[in-house]
Formats: sequence, C-alpha cells, structure tokens
Amino acid sequence: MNSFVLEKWIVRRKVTFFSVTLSEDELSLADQFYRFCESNLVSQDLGLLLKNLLVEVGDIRGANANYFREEYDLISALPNSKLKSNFPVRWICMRLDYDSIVLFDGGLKLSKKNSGSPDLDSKYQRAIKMAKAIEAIMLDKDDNRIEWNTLSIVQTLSINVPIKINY
Amino acid sequence: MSSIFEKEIEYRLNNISEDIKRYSELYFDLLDAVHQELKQQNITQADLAKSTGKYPSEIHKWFSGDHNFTLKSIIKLELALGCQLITIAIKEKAKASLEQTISKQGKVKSLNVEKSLNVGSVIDSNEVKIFPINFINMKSVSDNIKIA
Repeated sequence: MNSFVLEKWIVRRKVTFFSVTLSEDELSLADQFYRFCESNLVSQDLGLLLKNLLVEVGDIRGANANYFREEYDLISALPNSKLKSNFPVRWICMRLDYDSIVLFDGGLKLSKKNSGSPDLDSKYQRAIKMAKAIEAIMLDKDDNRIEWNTLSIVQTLSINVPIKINY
Repeated sequence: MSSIFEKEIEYRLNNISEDIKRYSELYFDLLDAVHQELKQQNITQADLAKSTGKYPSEIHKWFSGDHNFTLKSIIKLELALGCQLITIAIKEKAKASLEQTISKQGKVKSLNVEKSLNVGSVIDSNEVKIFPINFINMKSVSDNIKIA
C-alpha cells in the first residue's frame, strides 16, 4: 500500500500551503516541483508563478476559488504564468478552503488536452487518489488526525505533526 | 517540516522585477473585477462567451492565466459586461498642466475632468487602476467641458 505524509510547506499571511511527501521520497512533491520549475522554466516565469501563488494568493487575496482551474473532482491547477516559456505549467493542488491549499507536483502542459501530456496526466491521476484520501480523513468525524478550527469565520486546517496517510 | 527551499523562494520573491510584479497585480485585479461583475449581473462564463462571440474554451483561458490580455480583449469584456474595467489615472500635475494649456488657448474657460474621473475610481498616482464602473453612471468628459 502506498502512503504519504501531509505537512505544512510554507505559511503566508492569508494562506497556509501544505504538501505531501511520498513514503519513498525525501522531498515533498511541492519541493520536487519547485526544483523542476527551476530547471525548466524561464526565470521570469518562475518569478511570476511564485508571485501569483505566494504573494497575490498567499499574502494578499486568499485562496479564492476564482483563481484556480478546476481540472478534476477535488483537484485544481494554479493560475498559470506563462510569459516566455514555450508551454504553460500546471501546479496541481487541492484547495481546501480560503486559507488552506495542498500543493502536489505538476508539469508542463504540452497539448490542449491533459492526455496529450502523459507525464502531467499521470501526476493528476496520482494527486486525485491522494486528494480523496485527504478528503476521507477530513470527512470522518472520528478521525482526528486533521483538525479544523471551526470557531473562526474561515475554517483553519490545523496539522501540528505530519500525518501519514495510506492511499 | 517546511519547504527546504523556503529561503531560496523568499530570496526569489524579493528579487522579482517590477514589471513582473505589476503584471501579476494587474492580472489579479482584472480577474477580481470581472468576477465581481459576473456575480453582480448573474452572468456565467458561457453567457460571456456568447456575448463576446468567443468559444467557451477561450473564455475559460482568459480566466485561467493562459491569456495575455490585450486592449482588444479587455474592450470586448467591457462591452460584454457593460462596464469599464480599466481607467487611466492622471497625476494632478498633469491635469493642472492640461487645464493651463487649454485656458491659454482661450477655447475653454473651465475644465472639470476631475468629476468624471472620480466615478468609482481612486486616482492618486500615475497608475492604471482596475475595477468596474458602470457606463450608465458615468458622465463623459465632454459633459464637463464648457465651451466659451
């Protein structure tokens, strides 16, 4: 059985970004994808991607659903940021709430349909499985591995220790 | 554990060029303004596709960051939504200079550009500000120019 660990990745003023680390990996998927972007994106596009994600969404505006592309059930992709690169990049994520996002990895979209980008498509399929596992824990009232602070207007996801999840 | 690249990412964020920063801000401002109008007017993206004569996939692209907005596409959006999305802010100095020039030419005694520009907009710098202004409520600049 595959498993992954869910933990905080980067905390910004309005949004906490989480990521997952697969049991066989050392780096979280978000870190792996950041490294991929460093090697494959033009510097300006990487800058724009980070500005969009961490400053505009993370610091200023919050994780408004309008900013995300709904790709599959539970799974979205972040606002793209293609200025100079040949292909748009997709950073796969699960928007949990206005202040919580789980970042997976992603890739370059090489054709109109996701199926035309086999590497990206397989990452989407894997992310869907993990998103379903995360959702199952959140919906299970008896499972307190993930806690929501429901006292605030916007729910706050609270994970103090990494959570191991099977999928 | 947080990202092992956190410091590196922070360094990158602190060194993003001004044009990229501005592009990102304007993009999100535009996105917010359009979504606010769509919600207020109860218009779907499919409706918008119809009224702009675009394919729904193209409209989807406009809102997903794959599209680099041109003046043409912004104007199409403005016409479809019946509102102004972008205003050009003019510095007080520039306005004063304009008034002086026109006054010297003796063609116009009073120019009240201020009033028309202030409809729903914030003008405090030489910047482009984005948010909806209803055409219905907006007086044209010519309404405020008195010809001698």
